[in-house]
Amino acid sequence: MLDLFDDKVVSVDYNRDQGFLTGLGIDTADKKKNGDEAKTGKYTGGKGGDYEIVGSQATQGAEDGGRTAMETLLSKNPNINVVYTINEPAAAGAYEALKSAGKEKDVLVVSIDGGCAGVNNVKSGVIGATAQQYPVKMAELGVKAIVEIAKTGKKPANSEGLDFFNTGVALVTDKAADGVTSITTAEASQMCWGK
Amino acid sequence: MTATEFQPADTKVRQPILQARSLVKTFGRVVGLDGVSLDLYPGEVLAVIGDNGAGKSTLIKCLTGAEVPDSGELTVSGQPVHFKRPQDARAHGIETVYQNLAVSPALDVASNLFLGREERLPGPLGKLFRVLDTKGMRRKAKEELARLGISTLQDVTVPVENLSGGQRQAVAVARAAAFGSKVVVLDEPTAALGVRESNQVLQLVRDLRDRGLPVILISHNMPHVFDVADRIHIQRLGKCAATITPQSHSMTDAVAIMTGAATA
Amino acid sequence: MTQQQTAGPPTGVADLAEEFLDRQTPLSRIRNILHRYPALSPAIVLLVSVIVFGLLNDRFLRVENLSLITQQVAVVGTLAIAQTLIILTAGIDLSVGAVMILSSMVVAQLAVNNGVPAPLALLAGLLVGLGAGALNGFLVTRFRLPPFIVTLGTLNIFIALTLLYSNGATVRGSAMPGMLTWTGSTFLLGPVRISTGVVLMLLLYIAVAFILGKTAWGRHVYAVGDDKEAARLAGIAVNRVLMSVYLAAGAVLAVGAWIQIGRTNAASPNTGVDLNLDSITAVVIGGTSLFGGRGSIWGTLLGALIVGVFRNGLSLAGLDVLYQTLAVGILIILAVSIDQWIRKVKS
Repeated sequence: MLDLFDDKVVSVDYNRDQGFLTGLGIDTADKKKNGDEAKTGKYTGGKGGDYEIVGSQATQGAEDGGRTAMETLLSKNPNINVVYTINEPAAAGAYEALKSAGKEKDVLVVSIDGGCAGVNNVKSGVIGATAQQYPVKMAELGVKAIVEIAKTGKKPANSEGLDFFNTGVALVTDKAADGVTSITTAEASQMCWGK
Repeated sequence: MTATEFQPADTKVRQPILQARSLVKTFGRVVGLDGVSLDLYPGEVLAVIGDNGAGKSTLIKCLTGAEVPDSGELTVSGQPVHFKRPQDARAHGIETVYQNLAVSPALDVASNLFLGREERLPGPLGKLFRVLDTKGMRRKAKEELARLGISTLQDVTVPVENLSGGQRQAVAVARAAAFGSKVVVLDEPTAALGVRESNQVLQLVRDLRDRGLPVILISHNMPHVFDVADRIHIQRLGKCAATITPQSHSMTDAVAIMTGAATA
Repeated sequence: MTQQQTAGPPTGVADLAEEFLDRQTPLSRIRNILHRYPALSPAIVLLVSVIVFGLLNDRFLRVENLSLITQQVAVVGTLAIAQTLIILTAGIDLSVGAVMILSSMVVAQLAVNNGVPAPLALLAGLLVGLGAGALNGFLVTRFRLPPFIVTLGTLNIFIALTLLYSNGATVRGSAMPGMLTWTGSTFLLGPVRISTGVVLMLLLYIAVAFILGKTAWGRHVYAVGDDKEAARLAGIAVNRVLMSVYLAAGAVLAVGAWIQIGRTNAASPNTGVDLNLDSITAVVIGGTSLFGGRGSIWGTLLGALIVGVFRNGLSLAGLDVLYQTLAVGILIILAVSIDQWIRKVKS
């Protein structure tokens, strides 16, 4: 688990980390605390199975931190096969560490954001899959909602089954897995943000 | 006339090493020096005394290049000079030991003696790579200390901060007196020292004079001044109130002149 | 006011007192030794921590892991060289990381987007480092501003320039000429994998150690940091020494930028945000005094390694990242306390 900070606790840090684990079907214990889940056990997502979490490291969300964090975790356990990263720069750094250890083919790196640089990295195989978000859409819908509130006083309704308004996320990968909805990097490149 | 028979009264006939004429220095509307003249002859200790604000420090700063006088003349061995910075004065052989010592505590004795005038190794190591001749400087430092008769500093590799106050003062004085300087200016050399260490420093001053090096001594301490000085320059209100000798006047007289209670 | 000094007894008493004070306790003897060799205490800390972490986790002492630690400290270790030079003059540079990133972005963008040949791009990076150093040095010497304030300002300026220049975009290593990422390449020395960047860092340490220890300039750097006024009165051109220190630091940072590009195989405006403070941490833990004039460049290398060893060792021991930060904090306080204690040495 390559997280964000070691000097502050922020919601984006634990929400992403714990969201990833929840998706795998791992009990996260305290939802607002990284690294307090059971280190070994069974996961229920997909086909289910045994898991072991080697550790959580901070990356500062950047390449150098990602690389150092990945190296440290590989030192701890060289058999890592899945790496969660807080964002795509950290994922790129992790990939460098895996490459220098000769493990880039054996390990699946997943990430979050779906910026254009990140999508490119998915395309070139640096990142296995990334969850793409749509900041432009968020902003558009957000401003529309504010205008709506100002005009009519009507608040936007929460998305079904959630306690917030979902602006949408798509999993970007060129190696689609059965039973998981995903889009390809070609599609994602059309919608990505940043350069 | 030989140096041992030298009497202050004879000074008129000899050429001063350092001579100041009508120095004026103002700071905004405050007059620091108001036309001060001073002569320093070979082989004498000239004390400069005066109350706070009498212009002592300004006078010394003008003599050593730390301040530039507004007007007036300075000559060294009869040659007119203009000091714009301390280095200029040093280039003319006028070395100053400042009240705050001006030694670098973390550096050793030899490094301090050579600070700002380090010597490099001969050959390509020194020329190309600018490698310092540490051993050579240590050796020369020892020789110089022996020549000046400074016996309190045996080990020149000790950091100055490990030395006592008197020893530090000796380092500062040695640096000023070493390497062919013509005049040594000491600013309150005993102010921070105990009785024994003060005596060591005063002995050092006498030793320098006996080796022919003239000394200007700025001090508040009347007994020290009357102990070592040959002549005493008394500053008052930016002017030279009098130049006396320990033989011609008593300490009480000097204090009276200094405070304006009497004139010479 | 008595003119006569009573001879004999008082001096005798003073002698006795001095002898009494000279008698050293074992503790003060240790202190004197540590004082004389400023790199000794960090060396001991490094040795002890390596042994302890080795006992905690048998993977720690593996050659691969130790080699990784050296690679991880290469960038901060290089920045810490620049930081040491400046701290020795009783200054501090909060902008080292920002200068390094700006330099790396200029190098990468010139090479990739503008088609400038790699050696020229690196030269441009060096000029960026020198320019940044010149700006810091100019503000410190001409306007007599405290280095802390100057570099706090330039830190923000350099970050802004980096983002403006790069549009926040990362330049990937795969697009760069090989020379730029050469510092990330590794070779085997016996069983040990060594990266070119680490070698470059060590060469810089050797060069700077030589200059600080063997040249007049090095001695003047210490003298200026020790007591600026004393150095000026000794005839040292203080401002020139300060300016040259900031320029030298800038040049070192440009090399750091090159090492950084190799290390991450990218030039990213987002990297190295913590390096400004991490470099100070390495210097302080390495035993260099923040008050200037005291310390050794080798201590800084040890300090950088200590931080690397602590972070790695604590991770392998399974400690949460927040506790690692806590541990580094305690380490800093301890290092500064020891420095204060050592500085009390006087005879």
